[in-house]
Parts: sequence; C-alpha cells; structure tokens
Amino acid sequence: MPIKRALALAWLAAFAAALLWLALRLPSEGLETSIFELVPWRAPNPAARAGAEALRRQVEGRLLVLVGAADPARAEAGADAYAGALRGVAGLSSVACAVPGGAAGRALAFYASRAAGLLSREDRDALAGGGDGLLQAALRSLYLPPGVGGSLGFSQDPLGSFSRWLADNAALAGGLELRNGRLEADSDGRTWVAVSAEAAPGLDEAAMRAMDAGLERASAEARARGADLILRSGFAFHEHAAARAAMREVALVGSASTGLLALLLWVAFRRPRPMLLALLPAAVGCVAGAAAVLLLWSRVHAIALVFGSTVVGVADDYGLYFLSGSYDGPWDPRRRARLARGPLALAMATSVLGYAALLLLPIPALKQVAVFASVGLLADWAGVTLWYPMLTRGLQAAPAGRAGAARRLRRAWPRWGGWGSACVAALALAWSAAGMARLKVDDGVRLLYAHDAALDQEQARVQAITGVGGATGFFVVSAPDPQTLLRREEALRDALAGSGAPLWQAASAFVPSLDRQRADREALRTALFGPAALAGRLESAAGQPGLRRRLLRSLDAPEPALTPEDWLKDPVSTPWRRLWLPQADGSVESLLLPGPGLAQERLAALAPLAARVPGAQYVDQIESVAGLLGELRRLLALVLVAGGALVCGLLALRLGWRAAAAAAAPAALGSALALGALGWLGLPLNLFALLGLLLLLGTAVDFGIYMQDGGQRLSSFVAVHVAALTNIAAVGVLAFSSTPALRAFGLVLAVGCLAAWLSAPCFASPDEGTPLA
Amino acid sequence: MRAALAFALGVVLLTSGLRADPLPQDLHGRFSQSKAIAGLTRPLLSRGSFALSAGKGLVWRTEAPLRSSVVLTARGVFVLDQGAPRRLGAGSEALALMRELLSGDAAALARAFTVSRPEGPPAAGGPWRLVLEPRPGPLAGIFSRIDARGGAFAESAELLERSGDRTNIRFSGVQPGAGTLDKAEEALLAD
Repeated sequence: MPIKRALALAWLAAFAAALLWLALRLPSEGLETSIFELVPWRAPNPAARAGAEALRRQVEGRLLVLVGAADPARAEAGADAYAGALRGVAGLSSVACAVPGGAAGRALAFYASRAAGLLSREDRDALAGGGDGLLQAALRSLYLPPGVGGSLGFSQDPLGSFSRWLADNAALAGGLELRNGRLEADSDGRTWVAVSAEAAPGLDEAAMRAMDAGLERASAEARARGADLILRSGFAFHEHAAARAAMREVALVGSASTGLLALLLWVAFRRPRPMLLALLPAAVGCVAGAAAVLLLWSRVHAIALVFGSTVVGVADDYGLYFLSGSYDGPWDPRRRARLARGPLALAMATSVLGYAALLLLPIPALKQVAVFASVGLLADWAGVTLWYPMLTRGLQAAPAGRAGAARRLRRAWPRWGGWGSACVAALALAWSAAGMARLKVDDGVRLLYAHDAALDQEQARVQAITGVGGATGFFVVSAPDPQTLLRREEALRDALAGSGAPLWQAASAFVPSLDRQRADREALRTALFGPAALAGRLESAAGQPGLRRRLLRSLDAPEPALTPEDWLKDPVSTPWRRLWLPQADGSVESLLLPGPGLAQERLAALAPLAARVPGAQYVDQIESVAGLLGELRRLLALVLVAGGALVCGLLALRLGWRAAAAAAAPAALGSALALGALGWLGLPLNLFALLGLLLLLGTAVDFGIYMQDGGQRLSSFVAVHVAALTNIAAVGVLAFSSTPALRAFGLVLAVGCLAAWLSAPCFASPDEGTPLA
Repeated sequence: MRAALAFALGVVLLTSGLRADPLPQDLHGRFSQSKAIAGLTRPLLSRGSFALSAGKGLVWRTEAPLRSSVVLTARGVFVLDQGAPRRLGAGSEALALMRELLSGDAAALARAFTVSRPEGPPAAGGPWRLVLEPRPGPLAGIFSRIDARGGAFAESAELLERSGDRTNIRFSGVQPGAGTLDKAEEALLAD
C-alpha cells in the first residue's frame, strides 16, 4: 500500500523533526515558572511584583532559630554552640548570634545630631495638645537616680522625646532585644537567644542532606550545652522537610507505580515487545506535544509541560487498545488495524475535542496544555494506526489460558438493564450526591505543600516570641523621588495608625520626610517657647534660672537634615535597607512590613487604606495566589462543562443517541463518584481536583467508546481493564501523597477510573463491531 | 543603655554589705540626692527611701519633689510613676552583674570594675572607702567612676557619668530588714 507507507514515512519524518527541534530548543529555553503568568490579569502591577519578589528573595534564605533554656546563661551558651556548629556547614552563610558591639551606640550617634526633628507619634500628638504630660515626665526624670534618664543629655533632649523616638524604633524589630551582645527574649519561663543564618537557595539533594545533618548536629551541641528547647523557623526548614517528604514519596510511589505497571503489562501481554509497544505512545505523544508548544510559543510555562505530559500519559490508551487485539484469536495485524480504526479515531477525536476546550480560556499556559495534549494525542493516534500494523507483525496471540480467564470474567460481568442495575446506579448516585453536598471549596496555597506539623508549630512559636513574621501581607509604595516616597509612606502610616495599626517597619519610621522633620522641629519649638511655654515652666519648676534661654539657643542651632541618602550610607540602616528599593528609572519603591503584634487577620481590613495614598498598594502573595487558583478553578469548571457537552455531541453524531449515552455513562458515573469521594473524605474541591476530572474525561470516555464499537470483542474488554489499571497505577497512586493538592488530584483520578472501569463493561453494546467507515 | 547605670546604686548598697557576713542581706533606709546635670546651673535636689531585697532587687523611691519609683531586678530596670510600670532597656552585662551580686557573688564586682580602696582595708565595722572604675566594655562608655564611703553600712556615694552628670547621694537611717513596699513594687520584685 504505497499511500499508507508514504503516510507512515511522513509521520516518521515529522516525528524525527519534532525530536530534533525539541533537542535543539529545550535546553536553551527559559521556562516560565511564575504562578502569576497563569492568569495575567490577576498579576499585580510591576511595583507590587518587584516588591513581592524582593521580599521573597530576602525571606527565602533566612533562618531564625531560637535557642531556649530556663537559665539565661545556659541559653546563651547553647546559642553560641549552635552558631559555632553552623559556621562550618556548607550552604549556610552569615551565621550570627552575637550582635556587633556598639550597635546601640552607633544608632544614638547617627540620630542624635538631628534629635529635634524626630518625634514619635504619641509625642507629636501630646505636643499638639499642649504637652503638659510631657512636662511632668520631663520633670520627674530630672530626679531619677543616675542612669535612668533618656539616651541624650537633658540639654539636647529636654522633653525626652528623642529618647522615646529611638526606643520606638528599636522596638520595631520585634520582641528580641539586645542583651549581652545577643538578641534575646523572655517568654514561657525561658530565655530565648536568636541565631540567624542565610541558607543558599536551590540546593541539590546531597547538599540539602548535608545541610540538614549540620543543623541536626548544631541542635545536639546546643542541647549538650544546656539548651532545653530549640525552635526553628525559616523557609529553608520547610522547603527541606517538604523535599524530604517528596523524596520519600517519589521513591515509594515511583517504585510502587512502576512495579504495578510492569506487573499489569506482563499479566496482559507477557512478552517484551507488546509491553514496550504499550508504553511507547506516551513517550511519542510527549515529544510531539512539547515540540508543538515550543513551536507556537516563545515562552512556555513549566506547568504546560508537566501537566501536558501527564495528560498524554493518562489519556493515551491507543497502543493498549490496538495490542489487546491479541485476545481476539490468532494475530492478524491488518484485520486488527481495520477493526481498531473506527474506535481509535473516535476516542482520539473526543479526547482532542475535550482538551481543545481549554483553548476557550484566555490563559496562555492552559492553551499550551491544550495544544500539548491535542497534538500529543493526535501524533499517538497517527503513529498507532500507521505504524502498529507493521510493528506488530508476527505478534503471538494471547495465551489460551489468559484469554479463557478474560472470557470467563467477561461472562460473569453484570450487564446494564432491569431494576437491579437501576437500583445500584441510583444508590451510587445518591452516595455521590450526599458526598458532593459535603464538598468544601478551598483554594488555599497551603494545599500545595506537604506540611511538617512540628515545624509549623515551632514557626508559630517563634513568631509569637519575636512578634514578627506571621503576616504575609504588606504595602508597597512607589514615588518619583525619595522625599515624595517618604511623604506618601507617612500619609499611609498616619492612615494605618488611625485604624489602630501604628507599628510598621518602614523607611519613613527611621528617616522622616524633610517636611515632617521641619514640622516636628517646629512643633517642639512651639510647645517649649510658644503659648504652652514648657521651657519656662520647666525652668521655674526645676529652679534653673536661664534654662529657657539656653534651650532656645540649643534648639536654634542649625541641625543637619536627615536624608535617606545619609541613612542608607550609614551602618545603622543595615537591618532595614531591604525596605528601600531604588528603581532603574530613578524612581523609588519601598515596603511597609507589619510591625510586631500585627496579625494577618487584621491586614485584610487595612488593605483598602492603600487607596487613600497615591502610589500605595497592598500586596499579599499568599492571598493573591489563592485568589488566582480560585479563579482558575471557576474557569476550569466551565471548560469541563463545555468539553463534556462537545464530547457528548460528537458521540451522538457518530454513534446515535442511545449508544452515545452508553459510551458517556462510565465517564459521567466516574466523575460523580470521584466528587462524592472527595466530599466524604473531607478533601477540598479545588483546581487540582478539577484537573483530575479533566484527565478523567479524556480517558473514561475512551472506555465507553471501546465498549460500544466492538463491545463484544474480548479485546475491548481487556483494553478497558488494562488502560484503567495502568492509569490508576501511574497517577491514581498520588491519592496517597502527603501533599493535599496531589492527594485530591490522585483521588479523583483513582476513584473516577475505578468507577469508569467497573461500569464500562456493563454498558457493552451487543454487537461484534464492524469497523466504522 | 543608660538605664544600665541605675544598677550602680545597687552595687554601692550591696558592696556596703560586702564586709558583713553572711552576704548579702536585706537593707532599707533613706537617701538624699544631689544631681548636677550638664547644662543646668543648679544641682537638682531630691530625697526618698530605698529597700534592697537580697536575691530579688532594689527599690529606689523618690518622694520629693516628685514621686516615682525605680525598681531594679535581674530582669531589668522598671520605672513606676503613673500607670503601668515602664521597662527600660537595660544592658545585660549590668543585669548579669546585678544578678551575681544579689546572689552573693562578691568576685563578680572585680570582674566588672577595677576596685580600689584608697584608704586601705577597713577595720571590722570601721569606716571604709571604695572606688570603682568600670573595666573596658559597654559600661565604661557611659560611666566613669563610683566613689562610695561607709561604716557599718553605706553612707554616701558619688557617681560620675561620662556625659559629665554628677550625682551625690547620702544615705541615712540604713538598717537591716526589708522595709515597706507598695503593691506594684512588690509585684515587680516578686516576678
């Protein structure tokens, strides 16, 4: 057959070209991994994104460990031992326990020359109200025992306002305070000493293991020195724990899955050639799909490749179907090709149509999935119909014993019809409906990671002790120049303070705008020498003739203005420089991070305040990712309905209404039971469960088709069994994953496949099957 | 950090008991304070009472011209005037020393200060003079010298700060025993 041969050769040439294209393109191709790319219109604007990105980089590598003991000396010794042990660990840098000496002195020296322009919010309010309270406090402090006064001498800071400003700023760092040259806190009857370090990102498995071992050793040494509790916090701890869980899982699930697959194929075909040919199409489809995506798009999302290949792996049962013909008696490749042509074409067309429905979504990554899956399945189908008749020449028929067992199994299989089956179906659907009524939607990001409960608890305690780090939301402010930025930050902080949230880690807390410095200096001056006459009253109450005049002179002495440029250059800004993000175009952005004690729950209520300040916006990566997953879920639900309708329409067109209903029944039943099982098991309905349904649609409809066209052939029966079981073995085992999202995905597929598999033979058509034209 | 200096009073009072046996003991009494602050023309005079509780801390109560209490414990320095006690950030070198002295570790003093006795070792119960100069470290940056005198107990102390502030304190009516404390002071000591 020259045309067939030419087509087969053309297919081979196209495939070779795709393989070559892939080999050339893929290694150089930067894959898109940002989750925001999935839904472009939900992505925050560039400023918020850059802010979030900068923050993420800062946060990801940071480890903060609190070493605790009831006796402070033991806690300190333990922390020193812990830090000492960490210093030798590869992948960890900037290990710090001791704080460089004189940090407090440096801050005092830097800010003191600008003391009059620096007022805390409370003092600004008190001065506006006349300042009587401040006067009383100032007088009292004159008589305190030596050393209990403010940070600056009386003549420089008569009302103590600068000392309070400095103390407020020191408190922004959270519950840790500088003692003995370390950062310490007292809580729960223990003294906690902080040890911090930077963990290198993107470690391979061996490096990760080495670092974890180093951290364990450090804990052991700290315990040996008297520490009785060690609390770990930091993204790297969670990342490593998740990676360890994933590795265990990959090893377990991977070997279980591979073993099951091999066993299934061996039971079904027993010979290496058919076993190999059963697996080949999935690989072919992945190559073709990936090549098509890379041809059409310059930026490819990693999700498109990962999910696309899963789809191809699951939905592709054409090779299996073709090979199951070995159960229909002596092997005749030409006859098999003739009989298989119709069902294979319909199975391919319905799957491609179902996945093409993803093209309806305005989401590039999902369009890529659609193209990947459609092209992959199309290439598989073409490969199987064109090449398998040649590749399977001389294949042996299935052993008589095995075929006999399959035949007996088929004979015993219940048939649809009568009250009995209607009752079973009604029961199953009622069970599903009850389960679905319990379904809860949860788009939370937590579902994407396996969580170590002990680490979560330690992290929460660290946050409670230090008072910072629990919130994921923050504000980003942008402005054309630094002073405008500081003014905008101040406006935002004023609004936030008005809503009861005064503590924010922000550049303007350390460097007020020049306008505010001027206004604060004026307010201090007015309170001291204006109608309230605090200076004069201080003079007479303390019996210090001439005090007022001297204060006036010192306040009139020129003070250098405090500018962000000076601040950024000085070491005092070191812990806070991350808040200040200069942009390439000369504009500036800055972050306002929640200060101590500001809980995440309150942030959402504060978010609208950003609208009052130009250039300000609220960002919550975690919340916005969850919102995005929810949006994707709603869109995907629409696609499922649209795809399902298209598939039913095509089936009806090809098979007639009755057979179409019988062909669609297993997929419908499988979907219903899968959703019911999710509900009964308390697993959330989210994007990943729906992706599982989408995959199910592609594979379960094939089962129905195989049992319609040639429903009485043993090969169809066997193909459905092997295809369903291989899917369960390959992807359904994810139902045992420790990652909730994967668990939902795997469960939907496992339950759905199981139900479709068990029900498909019940709907088998009575005919032997004639090849459709 | 300056709050760290308040402990100097505790040091003086505690060391006044150094010669007695056993160490340390509860003391209470009255004081008058004259504080010369850099930039002010006249010294500021005040008076009040104190109570030293061995193992717990020191309550320093100014009664005139304005009322306020400073409570020093191993946990920090607290000021009680109106409302809730304010905690002042205290350097832990000072607090550690305070803790050691309160628990009777006399050698701790020599670790933090150069201790000299310009008038020689005192006779039992006789007059004594003790000059303390902080050893290099955070304390030395703020604080230059304590000069204390006493007999059976501390009688006077002069405290010099690097800022130039000079405080003279005279103790009177010092006697063993816990003295009377109000509720807030009691609570801070008990913590």
